[in-house]
Amino acid sequence: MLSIGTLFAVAVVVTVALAALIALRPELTRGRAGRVLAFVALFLLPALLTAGGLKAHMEQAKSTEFCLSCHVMEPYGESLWTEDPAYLAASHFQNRRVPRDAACYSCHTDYTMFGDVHAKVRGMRHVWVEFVTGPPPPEEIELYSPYKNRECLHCHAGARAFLENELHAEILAELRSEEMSCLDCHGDVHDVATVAERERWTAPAEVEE
Amino acid sequence: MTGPRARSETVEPARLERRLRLAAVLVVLGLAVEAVSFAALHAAAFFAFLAPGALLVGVGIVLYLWSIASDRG
Repeated sequence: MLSIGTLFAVAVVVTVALAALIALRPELTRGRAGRVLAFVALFLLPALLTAGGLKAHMEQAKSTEFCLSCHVMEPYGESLWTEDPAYLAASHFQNRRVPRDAACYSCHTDYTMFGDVHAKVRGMRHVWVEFVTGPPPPEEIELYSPYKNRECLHCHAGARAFLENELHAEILAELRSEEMSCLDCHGDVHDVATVAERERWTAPAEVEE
Repeated sequence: MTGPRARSETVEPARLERRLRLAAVLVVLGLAVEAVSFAALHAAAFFAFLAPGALLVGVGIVLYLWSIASDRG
């Protein structure tokens, strides 16, 4: 059975071959069949392939590897391996509370109707900053807006450990209305300024992916 | 037939074919860049896919559409 990737590659090769044929012999387009060929090779297939390729790239952009491919993000990636369980990002990553291959995206997307779109627009902006305007130093990077409890509660609300915590039960209304921030108590998240000085957790080889 | 109309009929196909050839070259180059961009999972690969990859394909498509829309044959 052919995979989507293989079909995509075959479609690209066929389209390039057809477009190259028109580039080499444009006189073919004088006939009806040639005009249909030009429509398929110069409009239909390139448009479909580019749209499909963009979708595939957008999906790949959710991966932790993609986020950490920018040099400025390396300390943030390193902070996921901090030994101290008080660090929120590290404890989520190491205990698989978020999928390791989509760790950044799991916490930094908006869990709303168009959250994926907003996250991807922000990602496009990050790519622009990385390659065109230049990023700030890692310790000066800030969120565009205060982190919303909604992103935490997307997973934690309804979870047994969360519900059975009496303090959480007492302040749940404030958390839902964003009057209180989860980060008021759980404020150590990445702290990239000191990450190099902290001890690093090394996963046993048999469980590391 | 002689005169401006005859000249138009002989010149226009050549101009159309030149534009189609250019559009095809742009599409081929753009698709090649797009294909190569999948070789790496990196922000630079994504950037390469968009510009120049998708940009070349987009310009090629627009040139193709403009060519057939402005063709009087």
